[in-house]
Amino acid sequence: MPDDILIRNFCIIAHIDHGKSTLADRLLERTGAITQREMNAQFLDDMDLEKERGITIKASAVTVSYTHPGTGQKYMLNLIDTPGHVDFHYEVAKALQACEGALLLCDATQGVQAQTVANAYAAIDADLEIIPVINKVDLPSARPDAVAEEMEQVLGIDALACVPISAKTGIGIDELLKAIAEKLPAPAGSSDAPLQALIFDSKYDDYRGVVVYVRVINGRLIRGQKIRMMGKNTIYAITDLGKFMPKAKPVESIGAGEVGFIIANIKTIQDVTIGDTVTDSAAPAAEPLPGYRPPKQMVFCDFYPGADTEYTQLRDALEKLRLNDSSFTFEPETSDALGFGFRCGFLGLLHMEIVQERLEREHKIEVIQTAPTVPYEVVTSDGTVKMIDSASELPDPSALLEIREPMIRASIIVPAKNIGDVSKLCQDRRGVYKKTEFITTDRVIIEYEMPLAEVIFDFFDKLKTVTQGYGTLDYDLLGFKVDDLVKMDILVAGDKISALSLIVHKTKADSRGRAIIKKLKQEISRHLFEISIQAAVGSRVIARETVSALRKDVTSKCYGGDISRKRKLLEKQKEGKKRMKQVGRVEIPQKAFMAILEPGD
Amino acid sequence: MTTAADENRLERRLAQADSAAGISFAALPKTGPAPVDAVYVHVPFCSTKCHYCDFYSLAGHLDEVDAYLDALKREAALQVHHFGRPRPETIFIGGGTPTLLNPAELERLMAILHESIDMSRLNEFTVEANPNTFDAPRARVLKAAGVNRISCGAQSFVKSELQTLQRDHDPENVPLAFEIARAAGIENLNVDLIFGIPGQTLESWVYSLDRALALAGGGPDHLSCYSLIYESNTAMTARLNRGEFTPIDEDLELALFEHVYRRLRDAGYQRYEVSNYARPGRECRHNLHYWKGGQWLAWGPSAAAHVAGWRWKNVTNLTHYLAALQEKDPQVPATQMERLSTRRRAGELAVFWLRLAEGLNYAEFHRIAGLDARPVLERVLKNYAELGFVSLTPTAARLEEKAVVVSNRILTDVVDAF
Repeated sequence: MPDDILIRNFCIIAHIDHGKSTLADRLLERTGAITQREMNAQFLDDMDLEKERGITIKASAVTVSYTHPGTGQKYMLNLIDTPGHVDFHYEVAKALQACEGALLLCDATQGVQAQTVANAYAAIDADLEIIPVINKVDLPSARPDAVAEEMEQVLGIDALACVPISAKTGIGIDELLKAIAEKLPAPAGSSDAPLQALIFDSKYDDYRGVVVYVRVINGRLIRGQKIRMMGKNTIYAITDLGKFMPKAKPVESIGAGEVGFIIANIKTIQDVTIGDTVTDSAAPAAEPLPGYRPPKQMVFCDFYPGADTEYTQLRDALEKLRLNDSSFTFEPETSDALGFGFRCGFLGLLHMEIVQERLEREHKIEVIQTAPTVPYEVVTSDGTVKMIDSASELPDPSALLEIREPMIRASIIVPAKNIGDVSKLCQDRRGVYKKTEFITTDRVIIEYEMPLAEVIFDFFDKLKTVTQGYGTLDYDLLGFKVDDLVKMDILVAGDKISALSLIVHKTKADSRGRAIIKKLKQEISRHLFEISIQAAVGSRVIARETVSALRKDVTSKCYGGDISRKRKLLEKQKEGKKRMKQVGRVEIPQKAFMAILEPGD
Repeated sequence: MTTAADENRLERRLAQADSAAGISFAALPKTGPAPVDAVYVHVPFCSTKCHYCDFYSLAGHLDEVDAYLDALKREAALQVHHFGRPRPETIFIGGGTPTLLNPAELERLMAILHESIDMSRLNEFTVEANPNTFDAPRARVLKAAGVNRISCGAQSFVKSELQTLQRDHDPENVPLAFEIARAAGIENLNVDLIFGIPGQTLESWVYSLDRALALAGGGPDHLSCYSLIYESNTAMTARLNRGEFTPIDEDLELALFEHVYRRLRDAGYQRYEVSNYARPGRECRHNLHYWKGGQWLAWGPSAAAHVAGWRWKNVTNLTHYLAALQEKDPQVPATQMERLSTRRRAGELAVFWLRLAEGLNYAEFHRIAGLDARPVLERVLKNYAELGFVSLTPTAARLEEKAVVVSNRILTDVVDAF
């Protein structure tokens, strides 16, 4: 690369729906990387699901060139797109590590939201230069000055530095490009030093194998070069190097400060560790770059094949999905009630929903999903500490010393008038109040320390309800803490349904148990005998319901012309029964296993 | 009350169903000569349409009886040509209202049957009779033709209940019909009764049953006691959906069901099928053929046959039936032709057989279905047996008395078990 071209590596960070993808597209268009005609869709979001949900699941990196209109200086801009949801902190972190600067985007009508704050702090922590950008200034309800004030108030960012834009109409884009060129620092590092390239993402491509996204910190990647993954200690030969501009374009080499992709005949995404350092196998760097923390699965649930789905189909589909998502895990699981399935781990609830939807939509697979749970730390009487992700893994109560649950710091931004409702919600969820900060006179950030388990159970929905949709939430993990936690079992006709066991706080067991068995009662049809449904903690039954016995189901009249019709009727009824799981003598519809997923109170 | 409108609508719907089927009739299965156990004849005429009835029948249209008999004769001839002259054990003439035909027409019907059927093995010949239209001249015609069983549709002895069902007969005609039949020398008599009629009470049901048991000749030989079924495509169901009445309460219905069983048992009748009761030896053999995998021919519109593993049903429309069986180039008016796989047939057979009090005898089942039912039924009925709903012995499976009211639930597991 000629020396007279300057490099700027940056990302866009924002709360969901604040216009990140639209801004990315506008930057590509304004720099001539794509034409107006290609602009129909948001270019960087390449999965249907992302478009529908308005969020970006996978990070992408795009290289464009830009000439400063005043100085005539040429720039190479590397834009790294990041996800904006609470579950994807890890992916945001990966992207931030590859940049020197960040555009902190905020909606001029909605103002600072929970993930605006979380992302801003992450960028500050990563030592990035921040350009505050206020989007959607074209809207009649825009209040750019007030939002700039909020940013200064909450984040300590100079309100005067904010660049007002409209990604939709193009207002302010030229000014923003100028700011990127002028304000963001050039990458450090030297192309002459030993090779150190940071892997910040990877994707699986059906034809080319794994595509590895890298940011070269020092040295130079060259096509044909033999490289070593320093963490994994594996060696590959680079078959192709390229950049997304935004379409993939082959290049001969990638130098220090630049971003691009490697194709090296890597078979699976598991062969690549995000955060690993790529070096030259013949002339290796002395040290790897500081890596990332590996993604931590904080929400677990079981997937079992639903009606018309085979176990192997489910396994194949999960394997396919994992090709492009290294942050969820799955391992075989068996349940008396539900048969063979998988225990799956996700970054968060939304992540779980996305995987389930992709199974259904892209793979046409129906799954029965058990209630989500968090991982627990269990201390046994011999002092061993063990991580478990399901109530069924709990050791015998006699050997159990304590159960520790993951705690989070929840930052909730809400209209000031909802402080009372939200505080009550958090306290109901065993939250411990930390502080309240006013963003403006009518909006606040409330901080609570809460058990994660209380948040994964319909907390978002409740928050949205009590704030009429205005409340936003972000959280980060604080660690594990011991509390008065017990295992609650659900018994149907005396049989324990292990898939329905869960760990709950002692004070919550009664109400939770009652709600669950009430739901179960609605789902289980009448049998030839009375069925008891019980919730129990240890040997103590805390709630009980009864499904009364079926009393009449008979076809009284059956003559010669009726036989086919009556047979078909019975066959149809039988079809319905096939979607049930037999537990002892009781047939439990698959839907019942979701009973504890639904809001209970 | 929109009787006529409901009827027309039903009529149209049935005709549509047929035309949707394309009215390209199915060819009879190429079985060669097929031995049959039974012959069913459907007479599709009624004076009015009862609101609960989902059999195919036309109110009025008596000017078409001759054309119907012409067609029936041609249909019988086609089948005789195809399957050979049937030599059944039983004949059943149902409807509709067969006794709506006048004596001359009845005589012609009997002549057609005698022409087409070898009567040498016949031991049960039933005709359904409406209490209003059954008289001595008709009884004489039937008796002369060999009819030895009359099935009388009494349904209830309470006028208001008959009105709810839109039955056109007077309850007092039932004893008369019985006397006429007995006087004509027809010895084997059945009454049909319905319980669970909206407005019915335990007292009124006790009354109806007592009246039935007091019928001439020491009471009927056989009773069919059906709980009212709201069949789709009936006026009764339409009225129910319009909220014209509330169906009776489940507790009451169970009490009525319980009462039939006790009252008839005490009077010397055995429940031998879910809804059928008989004095020893008076079980309806024709129906037993239906339920135990027998083979039968079926003539007349909407009649359903079962021969050599094939099931089919005649077109459910008199006009189409007549059109198919014109003098020139008549064709069999069969639709819905289906051949069941061995396993499907075994499931079906087991379901209907298990509705019989005698239970399913494995050896007999094997002879008919060619499959050993024991391992299959022991597997799917094990739980029910443990709960006391089913008895399993090395030779047979049988539903216990208490299982009858919930038999569908159990049979659901049987139907696809093979």
